[in-house]
Amino acid sequence: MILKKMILDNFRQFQGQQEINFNTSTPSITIIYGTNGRGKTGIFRALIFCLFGEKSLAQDENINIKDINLVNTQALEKSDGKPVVAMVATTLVHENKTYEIIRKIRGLKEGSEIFEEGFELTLVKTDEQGNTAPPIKDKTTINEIIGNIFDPKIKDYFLFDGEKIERLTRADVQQKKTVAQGIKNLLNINDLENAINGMKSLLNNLNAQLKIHSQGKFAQVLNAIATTNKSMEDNQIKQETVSAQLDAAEKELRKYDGELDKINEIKHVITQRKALLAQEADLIETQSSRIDLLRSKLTGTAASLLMPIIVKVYSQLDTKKQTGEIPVQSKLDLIDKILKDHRCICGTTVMEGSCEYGLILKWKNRIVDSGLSDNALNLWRDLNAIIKETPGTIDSVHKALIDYDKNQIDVTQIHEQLKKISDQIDDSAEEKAKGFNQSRDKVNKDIGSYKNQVRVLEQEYQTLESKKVELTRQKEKLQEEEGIKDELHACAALATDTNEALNNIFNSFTEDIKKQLSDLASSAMKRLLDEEGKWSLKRIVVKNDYSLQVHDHRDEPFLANISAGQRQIVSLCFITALAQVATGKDRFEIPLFMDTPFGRLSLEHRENLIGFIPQICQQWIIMVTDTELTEKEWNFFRKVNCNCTFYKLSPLADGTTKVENIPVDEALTSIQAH
Amino acid sequence: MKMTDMRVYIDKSNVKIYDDLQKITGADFHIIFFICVCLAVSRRADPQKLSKRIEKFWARTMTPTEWSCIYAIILEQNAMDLKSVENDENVILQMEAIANAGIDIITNDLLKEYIRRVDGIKSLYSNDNNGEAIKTLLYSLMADYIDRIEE
Repeated sequence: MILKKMILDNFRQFQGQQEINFNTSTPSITIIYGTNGRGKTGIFRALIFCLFGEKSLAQDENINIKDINLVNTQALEKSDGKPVVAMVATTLVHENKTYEIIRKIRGLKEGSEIFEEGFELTLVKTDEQGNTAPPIKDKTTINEIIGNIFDPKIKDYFLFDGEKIERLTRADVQQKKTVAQGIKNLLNINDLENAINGMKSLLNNLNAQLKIHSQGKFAQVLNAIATTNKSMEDNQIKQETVSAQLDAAEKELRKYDGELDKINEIKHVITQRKALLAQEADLIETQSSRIDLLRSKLTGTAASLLMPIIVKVYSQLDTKKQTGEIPVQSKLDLIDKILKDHRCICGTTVMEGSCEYGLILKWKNRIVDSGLSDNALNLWRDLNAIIKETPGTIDSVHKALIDYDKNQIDVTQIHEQLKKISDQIDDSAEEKAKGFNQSRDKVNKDIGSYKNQVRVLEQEYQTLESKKVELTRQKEKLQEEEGIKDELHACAALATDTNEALNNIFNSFTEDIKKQLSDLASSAMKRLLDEEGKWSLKRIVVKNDYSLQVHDHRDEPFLANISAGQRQIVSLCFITALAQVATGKDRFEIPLFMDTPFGRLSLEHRENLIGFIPQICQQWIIMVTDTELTEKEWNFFRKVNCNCTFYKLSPLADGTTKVENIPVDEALTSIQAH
Repeated sequence: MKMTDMRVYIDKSNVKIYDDLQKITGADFHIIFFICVCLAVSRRADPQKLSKRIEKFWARTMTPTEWSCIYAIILEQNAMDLKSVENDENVILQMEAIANAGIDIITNDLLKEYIRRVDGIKSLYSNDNNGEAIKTLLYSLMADYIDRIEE
């Protein structure tokens, strides 16, 4: 199967209709290049949605499916409350026939809520001669046709997002399940598993009947076998329960880790906000003191408007003072003394009834009220102070106003910065981080406890298994000694043999697949690792419990010690091995769709991977970020002997994304532009 | 010139403006009253008799500087006759009419961008902190001061 074309219309970040024509030469590489948030995963999601009608990906495990919106939000906002239809049309070629699958979903925005519902699926088939059949609308028929082209059970080995690649490297229950499910899907051994379970149930029934009909030591042995079987069943039920709890706890732990990662990403912003808030508080305090200062200067500044009047009045009061009109009390005292002593200060005698005496008396009577005169003197003093203080007041007001304005600019800038930061982060991030950490610690403790329980149960199971083997041997010995050969015993013996045979078949099938996977993955690993890795890591092993293990050069388990990049290589090797086993060919005929696979790889590992994948797959569609594809990686792609198509996801002003086909010769310029 | 304590009155129509001015500048009534007086005198506005007198504040809250300026205004208007400032009741009565003219300068000019009319009644409104209104007021007073100096 070859992917030919994909049309997106109002899907996720892609507003309006946009088209991607995949490179269809074999082998080929189609590179979809874009920075984070531009919609690389949106394209991956579009393919999964179109082929299988699924809204969520592996990376969405911690997201409520209701929160995943496929219809372009900008188109919904522009629609003014009317429904908007998003569409993905995928054209693929399989066995010389062309299939166009069109899947639509309708969205509606009411307030801040978005509602979506799938409402149309169409498949158009064109045969080798170019004859197009009438469109098929029946969902079941379409799903059947798609299933025949691309088995949903094996789709997971060709469509990989970064999250799934990451998950395979974890030594946890989820990883074991993924690997086990992968192997079982590849073998298609569900019927065999059903047969084993049925036979086990039959054997238990027969043993229960035998117990009823038996006596003496034989009965005791049968009884012990039945009890052991029951204990083993109980043990397995417990193991499944604890494994499920462990699985859920690990999922929860990843959820908290994800949330904490998000918070960690914004930690520096939180620190910046703290500093800005402190700075803002300081500035506001300074501003507040400045306002108090300015307020205290209102009277002085207003008084300055009266300066011409104040100066004039002051001057005239001053003249009065100079001429002796004010103050008057000392003058009155002096006059009273002259009149009383009948002698002037110049020594002249001033007799009562004389002309001089009359003149002095007249002068005394002309003098204003003494209280009024004192007040005038006070006013003279106050006005003098106002005149002296006013220039200083005006200067200090001027300076305070300039400082206030400058400070206010700083406050506004800080406000703007804080607003920007507030738009980026949640106010309660720190509180949340505390809560997540507490919950994480609790879940971590639970995980430890569950793992311990699983270990104990596994040991218990092994003991029970050994006990059962011993009891079965005793039973057979007693059967021989006592010559018990009736029909019930014969049935039970037959059921036991059949059960063992079925288990052997199951084990040999899975062993075979495990070996194939181990060999292919190990071979890929040898080609992908750098020189140091090739020396230190010998092979990848799929263990009996379906966990992945890496053995070092001494053939000892070494997974716990390998680097993050090496883990990613191990995952990619296992993925390619699964794909190879699924198709049964060295070069598989289904496109390998990878979303951001280079994240943790070193340059040498990237070069090796870029050279390796086109050798095992005929169509490689790869979505990469600007940090994954630089000039160096681009040169690795150019060295590979296969056709290449380059698409760039560019941001538009409204936040949507434009898909641009860049000629390969110009791709480097686009990459360098970042 | 005894700085006698008594009630100081404003026109009933300006009660809301005085209250709002106090709210948006944080300045006491006596300061607002004094600013009104200074503005009216400085811009040579004709005193306006109060149509309906409403008590607003106590004269004892006025500062010696404010009293001195007020006495200077009266003395200047009465050819330095000290007896013209003998009776504080008369002084304050004259100032009330002057301040009544001054408040119009504030609402029609200095703080006109803060003026809103609700049901025909003038009020001052500001979302800003006190600082902005005080700043506007001070800038205007300083501009007037520079004008007077240049005259």
